[in-house]
Amino acid sequence: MELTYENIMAFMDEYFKAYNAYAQDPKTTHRMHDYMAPNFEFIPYVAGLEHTTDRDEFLSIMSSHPSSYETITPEDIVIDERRKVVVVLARTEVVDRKAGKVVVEKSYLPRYQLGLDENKAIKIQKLQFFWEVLPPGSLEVHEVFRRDL
Amino acid sequence: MEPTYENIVTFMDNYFKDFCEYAQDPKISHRMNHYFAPDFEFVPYLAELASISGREEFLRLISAHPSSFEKLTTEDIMVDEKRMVAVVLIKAEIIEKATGKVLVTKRYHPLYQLVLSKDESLQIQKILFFEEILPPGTLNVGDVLRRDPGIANLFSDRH
Repeated sequence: MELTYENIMAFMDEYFKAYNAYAQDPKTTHRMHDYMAPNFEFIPYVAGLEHTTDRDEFLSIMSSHPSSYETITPEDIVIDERRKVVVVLARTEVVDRKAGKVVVEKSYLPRYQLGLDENKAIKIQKLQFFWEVLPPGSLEVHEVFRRDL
Repeated sequence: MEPTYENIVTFMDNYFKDFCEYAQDPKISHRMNHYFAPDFEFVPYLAELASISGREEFLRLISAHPSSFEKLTTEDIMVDEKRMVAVVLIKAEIIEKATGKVLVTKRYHPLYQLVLSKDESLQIQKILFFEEILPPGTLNVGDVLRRDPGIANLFSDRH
């Protein structure tokens, strides 16, 4: 697959659908391998979030909060076709499974560096992560996820 | 100016150079006018900051912290020329003027929506502003800027 504007847009759309459906369940999280390079690096610009340098380590963290899940909705996707960089304005909702209640809502602005693997498939190589600052005292995403630690 | 990839990168490079030189001094901040559309909008995704509508109000607030200045260094500029959007990874340093000391270092991640003006010049119409979250207890940009009362309107009533 060539890294054209249209292919990158389709890839990112599929990535978010797959993330919501598979990434947070330990039984299906391996399906995210289709979207992420083995040496995927997660660089959070958020104190308290863990920097990871390995796809499986990242997915293990993403799938270790069974009492809650997040649904990420991309609101705007911008693509630097030349540099293979994508930035997404996304809205997340963190849902408490037991109560069926949205406990956190906030916006993200992640920056994705893409590349092609040996099979010419698009893969995310690096994710630089920024999120909205909520008012002091608000419940945060990682506070909800860490209830399962 | 056509909104090509190269022209957008050049525009953003010039913008940051001029921002550091002119934007924070009320006597010369008007030199930034040509970078902004008149209906410019600043939309911060930070609870403590209020949205700003209008180029003049934005420049008035940005130049209202005389005891410190903000040095912005672009680390990466990504450009979607089809959409006329640039997103910039920036290293920001807040420097105390009296001592020359860097008080805060953090990354910003603003998204710039560009437009063409009537005379076909690139201008910034909107900034969606995200920034790094520093560890609790760390001196932050707002803590420094709020030392100057003139910038208080930039911050919401929470503080």
